[in-house]
Amino acid sequence: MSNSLATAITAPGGALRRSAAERAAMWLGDRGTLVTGLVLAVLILGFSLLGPYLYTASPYAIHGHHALQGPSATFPLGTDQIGRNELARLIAGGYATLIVSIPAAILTFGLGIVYGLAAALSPSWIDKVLMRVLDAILALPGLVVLIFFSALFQPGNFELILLLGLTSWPGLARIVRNEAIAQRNRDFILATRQFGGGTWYVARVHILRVMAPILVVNATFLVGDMVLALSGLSFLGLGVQPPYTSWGGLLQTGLNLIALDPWWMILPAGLMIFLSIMAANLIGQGLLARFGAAR
Amino acid sequence: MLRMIVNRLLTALLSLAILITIVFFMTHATPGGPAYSILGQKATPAAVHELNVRLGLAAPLWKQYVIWWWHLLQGRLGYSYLLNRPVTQLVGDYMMNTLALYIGAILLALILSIGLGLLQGVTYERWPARVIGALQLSLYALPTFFVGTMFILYFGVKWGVLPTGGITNLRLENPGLPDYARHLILPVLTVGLLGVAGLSRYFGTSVHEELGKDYVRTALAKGLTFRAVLFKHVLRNALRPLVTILGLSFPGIFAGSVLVETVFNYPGLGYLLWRSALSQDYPVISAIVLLIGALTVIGNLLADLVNGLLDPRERFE
Amino acid sequence: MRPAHVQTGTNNRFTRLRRCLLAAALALPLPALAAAPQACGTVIVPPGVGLGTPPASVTSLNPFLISSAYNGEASSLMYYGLLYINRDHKIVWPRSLATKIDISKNNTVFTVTMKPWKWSDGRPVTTRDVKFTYDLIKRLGPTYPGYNSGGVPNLIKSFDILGPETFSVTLKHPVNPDWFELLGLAQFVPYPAHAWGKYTINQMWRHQSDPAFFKVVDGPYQLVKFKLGRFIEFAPNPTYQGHKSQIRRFIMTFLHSSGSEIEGMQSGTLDVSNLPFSLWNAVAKLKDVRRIKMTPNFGFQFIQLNYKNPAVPFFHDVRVRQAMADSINQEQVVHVLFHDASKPEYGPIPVIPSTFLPPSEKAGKYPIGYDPAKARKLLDEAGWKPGPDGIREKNGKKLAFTLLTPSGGTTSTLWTEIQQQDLRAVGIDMKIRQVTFNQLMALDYRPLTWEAMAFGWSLGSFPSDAAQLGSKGSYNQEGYNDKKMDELLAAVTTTPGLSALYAYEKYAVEQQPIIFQNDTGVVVLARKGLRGIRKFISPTGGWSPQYLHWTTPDCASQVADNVAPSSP
Repeated sequence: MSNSLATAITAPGGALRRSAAERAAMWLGDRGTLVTGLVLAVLILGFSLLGPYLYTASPYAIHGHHALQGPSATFPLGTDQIGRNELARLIAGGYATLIVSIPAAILTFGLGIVYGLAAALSPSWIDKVLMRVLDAILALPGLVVLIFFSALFQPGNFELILLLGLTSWPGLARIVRNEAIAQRNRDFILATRQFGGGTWYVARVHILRVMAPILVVNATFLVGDMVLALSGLSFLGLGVQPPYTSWGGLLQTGLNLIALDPWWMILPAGLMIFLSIMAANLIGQGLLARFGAAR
Repeated sequence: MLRMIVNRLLTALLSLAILITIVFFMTHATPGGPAYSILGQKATPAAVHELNVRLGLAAPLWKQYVIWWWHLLQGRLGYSYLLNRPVTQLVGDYMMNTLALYIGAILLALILSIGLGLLQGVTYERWPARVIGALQLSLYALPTFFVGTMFILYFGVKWGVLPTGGITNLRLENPGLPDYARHLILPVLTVGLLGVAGLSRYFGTSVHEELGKDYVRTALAKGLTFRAVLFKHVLRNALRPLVTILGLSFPGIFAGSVLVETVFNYPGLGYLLWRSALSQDYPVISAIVLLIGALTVIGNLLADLVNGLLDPRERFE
Repeated sequence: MRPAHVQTGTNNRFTRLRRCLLAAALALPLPALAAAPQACGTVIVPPGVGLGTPPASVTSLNPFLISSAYNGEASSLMYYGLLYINRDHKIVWPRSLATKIDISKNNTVFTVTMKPWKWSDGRPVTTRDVKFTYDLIKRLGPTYPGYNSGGVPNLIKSFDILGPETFSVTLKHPVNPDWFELLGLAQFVPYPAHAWGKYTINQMWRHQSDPAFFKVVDGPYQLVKFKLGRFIEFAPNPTYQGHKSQIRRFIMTFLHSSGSEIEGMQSGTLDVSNLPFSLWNAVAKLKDVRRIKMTPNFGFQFIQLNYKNPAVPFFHDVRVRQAMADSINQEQVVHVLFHDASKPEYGPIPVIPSTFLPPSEKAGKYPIGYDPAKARKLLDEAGWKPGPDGIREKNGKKLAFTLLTPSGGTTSTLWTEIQQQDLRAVGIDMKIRQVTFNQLMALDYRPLTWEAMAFGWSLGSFPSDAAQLGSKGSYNQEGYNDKKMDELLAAVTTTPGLSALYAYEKYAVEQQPIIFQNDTGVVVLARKGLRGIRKFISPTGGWSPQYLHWTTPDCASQVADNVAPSSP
């Protein structure tokens, strides 16, 4: 880990003297990000994927007489405006959100890698064309494209995954392509080529392995981006369709009722989105720090 | 230098052409058309058909594409189906508002980011940097629409000090600049604060890298105070990547502003885009997307140029 | 250990500088925070008020070309109607341009006498203007939004000018006079022939949102400002001869989420707004605002069933349709979702007011009503037996279908979900899919793409719905075709009195060609100092802002006219 600059500059000889407390804090800081992120991620995944089995109240049952109530014994997170159990809806929302975001991230990942590698390892003119197309797509903000298609098609979960995947891969593709180009002229790659390794073999086995750290880091950030994008879509009414709901949808309902101060409908959902993105970013950052040091 | 500009310009135009095609097919390839948005639910089928003919939507798709290009080259962006106005007029109106929002937000984000980034870069690895890092992470993870609505709830509704949306107070028959400014505050705050997360992190890293360079050590050894080194040299050098980032983040800011404009009922391009997307008002959608694409490309071009000016090494790439 | 001078030096100077920067940034907007001036005497509403629906805006002021409700509201402020129809569906002569209608003995010739009236440029309103309207309707033909409503223009044999203020309309055969007056004759609103006559139809299309086109008016208001997509502003018409406006300006602002309406009321930027039903209790938190239950719209909501799609053949079985109607608990919906702002509705004739209801229904007796046991019995009789998952099956086919609904709107989503639950309780599986409104309408015309659709419908002043339920009706996309229904509908337009209407209603309720649902009801929020709301909005009479007035002390001096306030 790099030293604090001011001290490094001014202490002659560059030797660093730290107290035990400082060293302990640094150790925790080094791993803290990664560990916190992982713990958060596990908690969120557990909540959303195992939750339905542990807490069996139905997220769809309507209890008209208990509408818009705050948290109570029967309804730990209160009810919505037609009396549905908010905690159950939060769990179900998590399930729906993650079940779209994670596959979408995987799809983006796959598409980005394939496109980026294809561009990097092809003859120069193909690369130029592919990159121009990429620039064109990148000029369009992803959310804008998402809004079009959702507004025009009203997608189900599968289409949502496709949509999110197809609008986010350009960013990753560019990173992959740039990295692959930087790598392809390195000595060991040239040596492999010399020994007869075909282009795809080289790509798969060697370049990917070298890029793995960057890819993993980007993948984690991707998941966070997907959750945010899906929440944004649901907020605009274009994401997950009823009766299923996502955190973004819950947030939209809650925010619509904001004049009634229904904090139990707003804070949990907003918090879950926030924590998911935090978890993804913390893991990514933690990994970045570790891999960055190793480079 | 000139060659670089020409080169970049040509590739930019190519990207734009591809973009135009993509947008055209995106908006025309779906069922539904704008007829009912325009005529209302009780439109007779004959009226719908006539409208489609009038709007040129009854022609085969390839023909519409050709006509679209023909109009574009003449500088005609078309006529909004829904709002019955030439698109250029409509977009111009809304674009001014979006630009005001951006400029305000970018200024706010810049000021705060430079401040935070400097602090972060200088106190790297110590607690102020970590606190700022945590703050950045939190800001990044907060959805814009959530933050915006919270602002409306507190500043607009509970405390009543700022307007809850729109861009003018309709009761005033001649709203002036102060009224306009009041309505800008919350949207600018929302977009700006969330831009701080990313920008300040880049700037912080940039400052940190600069501080590790040899010339800093040399300058300090020569006897310059840390403050002088910081503000005279490090700041200027660290600012350079920020320019590129600003250019690149333009699409991202626009995407963010769509949500913010929706929450605040702010009549900007994002709002117009969303409304047009929902009513399938093709000319407006295409025009806005084109505009954003063009602005992004220009933004990148300008960023490259500025970089070229600031760093002579870049001119000969 | 850290070298002291660098440590403090950095922190001190940097912190100071940073504070300076931040302070400078914060100081900039402070002057703008000074409170905005309050301009009273102006009333601001979103255009959905009175219709209870989501975001839209006024896009055209020309009623010959575009019929969407918000446009109608706006243009009706500027043009005085031939007949003003109140919420009891009676003509109010003092508020109509017509003073009397003479009907020939055989109910074919209607002679209308108008009172003296002037355009805002001083020219008189004459039968020439009425003829201009009629000619334009004929020229537009099927593209005219009100085509064939009330028999206009196809039932008209001739239109004759008998004098500058008298004209007569001769029909091809005898009709039910109430039906023709309320639906047909009411369309003969005079528009300024001298101002509009020189435009071709194409030019009218281009100018339909151009304020210059709409300069000559004869109604209570004139157009001041029109910012497309944002707001439209009206000022009182000084030459108006009717009840003068008591407010200084009337502004319709276009919002797009129900939340923003409440925020507007809370923060004082709106004076009247819709109350989204989901926010019913919000009024307790709004100071200075009151909640008013208005007369519901004259219409109904319904589930349209596709008779042309072979995937859902069971819709042809009247027992299945009756079972569907019997399984939905409209009382619960009206109470939980709409807070009793409307009443359950089982047929095409709205229940409020009860003017047109058959006596048995007025007494509350319907052959259809919430009765899940009866629904199950009907389905058993029709041969549908519950399968292992509770969904009924017959010959291997499940009693399942997909309902398309327009997206947006919390309450309508919830409503569909309640219906879904109710249907499932008797063994019918209704899946929900949300699409945009445009898509919904487009798919309507392609029978194989949909199975059921959810719609709202508002009737003209006379509740016969040949357009929807007649086999040749222009809105009958579902393919409902029933000879007896056609006969009953025809009888309504030709038989004087209400007996034909009663027969039609009874048959429709029993047959459920579309599954009728309650209308949503209309609830409005208004500022406490603003009175006259009930006269302002009427389900059949359009908007009349000239009856609004402020009573709060600081606004009283700004009203346009010191007329004694009418009761709210």
